This record gives sequence, C-alpha cells and structure tokens, in this order.
Amino acid sequence: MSRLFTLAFLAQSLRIGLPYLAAAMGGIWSERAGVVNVALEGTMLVGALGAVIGTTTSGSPWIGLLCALVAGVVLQLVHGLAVLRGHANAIVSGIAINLLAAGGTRFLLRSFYDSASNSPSIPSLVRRSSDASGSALLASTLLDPSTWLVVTCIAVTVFAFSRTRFGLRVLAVGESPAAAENAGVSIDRTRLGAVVCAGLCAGMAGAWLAFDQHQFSSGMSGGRGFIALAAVIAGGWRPGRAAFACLVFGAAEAAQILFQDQHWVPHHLVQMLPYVVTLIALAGVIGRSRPPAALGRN
Amino acid sequence: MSHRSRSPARLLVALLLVCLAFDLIVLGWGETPSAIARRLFSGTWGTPYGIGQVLFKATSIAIAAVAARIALRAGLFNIGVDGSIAVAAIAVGAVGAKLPPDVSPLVAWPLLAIVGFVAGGLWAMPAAVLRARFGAHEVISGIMLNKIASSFVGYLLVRGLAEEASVHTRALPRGALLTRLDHLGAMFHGLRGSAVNVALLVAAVVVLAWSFVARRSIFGRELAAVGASPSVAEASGLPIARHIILALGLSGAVAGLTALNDVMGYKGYAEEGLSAGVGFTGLAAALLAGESTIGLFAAALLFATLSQGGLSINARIPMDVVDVIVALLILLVSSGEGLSRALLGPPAPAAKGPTSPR
Repeated sequence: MSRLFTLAFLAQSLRIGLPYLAAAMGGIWSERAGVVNVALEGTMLVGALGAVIGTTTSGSPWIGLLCALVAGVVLQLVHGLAVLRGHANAIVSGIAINLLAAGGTRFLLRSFYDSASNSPSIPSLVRRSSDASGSALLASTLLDPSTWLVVTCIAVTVFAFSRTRFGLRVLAVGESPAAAENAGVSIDRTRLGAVVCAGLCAGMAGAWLAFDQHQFSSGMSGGRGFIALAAVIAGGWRPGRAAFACLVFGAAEAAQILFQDQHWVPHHLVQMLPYVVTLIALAGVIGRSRPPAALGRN
Repeated sequence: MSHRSRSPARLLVALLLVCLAFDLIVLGWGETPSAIARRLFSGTWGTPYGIGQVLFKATSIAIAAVAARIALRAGLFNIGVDGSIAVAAIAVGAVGAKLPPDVSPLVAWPLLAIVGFVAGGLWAMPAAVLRARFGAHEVISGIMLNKIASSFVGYLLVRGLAEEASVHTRALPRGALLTRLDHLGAMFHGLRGSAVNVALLVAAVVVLAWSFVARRSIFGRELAAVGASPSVAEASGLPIARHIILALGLSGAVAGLTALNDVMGYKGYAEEGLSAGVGFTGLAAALLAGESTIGLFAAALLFATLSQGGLSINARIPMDVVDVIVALLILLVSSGEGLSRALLGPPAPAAKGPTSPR
C-alpha cells in the first residue's frame, strides 16, 4: 500500500491521466454545445495513427502532431455533419464513427506498414530519459511539451467558456438553442465549431498515446474515449471537475499497473480496476450533475 | 427517431453509395473491384460450405441483433451485449462440462439455454440498474462492463474453470452438443465441415418471437412508449425504471442465447474471446434493419456474408475494409433522411409528418 504514496505513483497517475484530460476537454466542447459525443474513442484512435503516419513520412513528430489534429477534426466533422445536417441519432453516428475509425486505422496500418498489429516505432516530441525513478519520471512528464499541450487544451477550454464570445455562444446553443437563435447565433455553425474543438482535443489525446508508446497499435485507444466521456459526465460537464475526474481515473489505472505484478491479488481482477472506478463514478454523481439542457436535441 | 424508420429508396441509394466507396477503396489498394467482389462471393455463397459458414455466423448475429433491438425499443443502446455474450458462454461452458457424460439432449439443451439466458441477463443488470436508478449512460457503462467481462472470464478460466494446460473449459458431453445441420439428412450433406447447427432455428424463432412481442403485447408497446418519450410515458403512469431494467435485462438474456450457437453448436467448450464482437455486429444489424423483421434477417445475412467474405478476401486486401463499409452504411442510412433533404430540398408534403414509432 505504501507504494501508492510515492513520487513515482504521482507521476504515473498524471502521465496516464493526460490523454483522458485532453479527450475530456473535447467531450466538454461537444456536449456543452448539445452534441452527444461517443465518437471520442474513434477520434483518439485516428489521432494516434495520424501522429504516427505524419511522423514516419515527414520525420518530424511536430508534423505528426499536426496530422493527428487534422485527422481528429476531420472525423469529428463527419460526426457533426451526420448529426447536425443529416439529423442522425448522435449515438448511432458515434457508434458508426468508432467502427469506421477501428476498421479504417487497421486498414491504413496494413497499407502503410504492412502490419496487422502495430507500426514501426517513432520518436516523441522530445527525447525522454530512461531513468525510471519517481522524480525523473515526474520531471520528464512535466518537461514534455505534449504535457503542456494538454494543459493548454484545458486552459483554453476554461478561458473560452468564461471569457470569449465563441465559448459563450457554445454554452448558449447547448442550454437554450431557441434563445440563442433569437439573439442571432447560428446554431449549426456554432455546434460545428464546437465539434472542431472536440476533434482538436481528442486528436491531441490520440497523439499523446502514440508519442507515449512510440508507435501505433491496433485498437490502442482501448476504451479511453469512453472513460474520458465518463469523466465529463462525472464532472458535471465542467472543465475543472472533469479534469479532477480524469486524474482520479489516471490514478486508478496507475494503481492497476502497480498491482499487476503483485502476487497477492489476481491480475485479472486488478485489470478491472479502472473500469469499476469509472462505473462507480458514473453512478455516484448522478443527481448532483445536470447535463446541458439541449444535449442530444437536434 | 431516425433509427426507427426506413425508406427502401434511401436504403438502395445508401447501398449503391457504399458499393461505390468499396470500389474506390479497392482501387486505391491496387486491386480490381470485380475480382475482389468475385472472391467475396465465391468464399461465401459460392460453395455449400461457404453458405453453411454464412448461416452459422448469421445465427449469432441475428440473436445479438434481437438483443440490441429489445433495448432499442425502449430507446436504449445496449453496447453491453458483448459482455453478456462472453459471460453467458463461460457459464454454459462451465455448467455443460459438469453434466454427466450420458446426459440426454432433452435435458441438456433446455437447461443450458436457461443458463445462458440467465447469465446474460444477470450481466446486463449493473448497466440496467445504473441507468434506471441513477441515469448513468448505458453506452459508457456497457463498454466498461464489456471490459470487466473479458477480465472476469479470464479470471474464471485461470481459477479452475479451464481444463489442465489449456485456455478453455472441459469439453461438453455429447448430449449437450447441438446437432450440425449436415447430420440431419442427405439434403444438407453439402454443408459438411461448416459449423451451421440447429441454433439457426433458435435464432429464427427468437427473431419472430420478439417481433410478435414487440408489436402485439402490452409490454412491447409500453417499451415503445418509454423509448419514444420517457417523460410522456412517466406522466401516463408507466414505471419507467422497471421498464428500463426489464428491457436491458431481457436484452442481455437474449444475447446469452448466442452460447447455443458458439459453445454448444460449434466449439463444444467455452474459451476467452469466443464470439468476440458479435454483439457489436448485432447492434449494427439492428440499427440498419430499423423495425423491420425481414430487414433484420437480411441485415444478419449481409453482415455474416461480409464477415465470412472478409476472410476470403484478406489475402488480397485487408478484411478491415469490411468494417469501414459497414460503418459507412450505418452513417449513410442513419443520416440519409436529413442529408437528402439538405441536398435535394424538402420532400413532398405527403412524405413529411412525425416519424414516431408504431
């Protein structure tokens, strides 16, 4: 148990929490605008593959990051257009988008790298030290530019919703579309804008995964998009609280990794930990968190 | 809701567009579409064995599609079908292996069907209760329960359910195995080697039975009322929470019946990852079929063909192209009404009106 209270565990929780943080901000953008977004999972996946393809073809991880963001935005735009213009049920569209991303990335993996499971390895934005001590891990996490990009995602989201005209419009179309329209705000355009922001954040989350593992592997998002969405709901659709929930989920996963090599607890049961924590969080907050009034009504 | 109503014309246009997308992807890969299509056909409907395999796959997909449809009727997306399927399979495998070696099919078949039904339904309970009592989104809890299910199954296998030095349960006794269709008579001899078994009939009965219940019974109509508008249904005095729990529970329970096909009809034991992804394919088939019964059979056959055909084209082009095609088809069909209106202008007044479920 004492291993839970170490610098290494703190660093590990933060590190694992980062992709959740970025994806959760994406979820907040979309859902605050009223567009239900279970497509975060697939968006992370294409973001991760975009980062790898961009990096291997250009040689620069920064180009890879850019590709991840573009891929994320494109996929979210498909979701946004299907829901807003095509009037598809947002969950149906999200399910289809996730399937498209899962099949599409596996297809591209074989076309680019002739592999059914994973890509060749890529460098990260900066080289990380191989020192595995807690303080070194914390330091390298804090010094990694992708960490700061995620922090930027959060800061921009918080700032936009409190200070910018666009952010306030997003909140308006999510709470009261009719009133927003009367005030001259285009509902669809604002929602599409919010969905683009969602694509940027979730694409970033995917890029983070790819740079962290130095490769793309089939299905590597592994349900993280859904866990991030759970964090959004558990956090009552507010950036700060959702971020806190993400860090809790990160800690649960770090604990899982920590306990995996312990013999007194079966590793199959430990594997369940992050998912059980997510379920409890989902159940525990309801009644105390209110969704945006117009969520899912389009 | 758009996933309930289907127009044949739009469906046809969506199918044509998807064929076009398939052609483009195949050309992009550097193959000729006609050659790939021929390979896909000859690997499925081209031989008796291929037909048998398609029917075998369609069996589980159709059962899973009914499971998804039960929840959809109440406006719920049961993504957790895969978890129910995994847990039901291991339960059927475990109980089946404990049956005496000379057990009669008259005892074993119904007993194991009940085991699968109950296990699948129980596994859906957490998501059902979380949704009904706390409003927790069933899509997220379903995904979480699927992940938990696969760890749980692994745990059970490691902790004693698996046969010594293997990763599957002990073999079911002869009497617990479902008869393969090729054993039924000379008529079916061509199917030899394929896994299609009498669970196919179970699937057909399940599809027809649910269609009847959904349309004719009070329960089916009440579920539709809950699905159309929970607030209106509540105002008219329906116990919403109970209906949500019943819908998701029955959905999981029916999903558990896939164990008949995969465990009792095919493998003869349960193992990790057996029939993985069938629940998701079933949901896709249910979304595509809308409310139509014939549509459900057609969608199950289509996805079974694509899944089996994917194997036969995999040497030439990655079979993942199939998932892409299915995803595009769902996207087009679900957004087709709005898109055609946006592109072609508003439809004739007669075609307008509420798209409320029957």
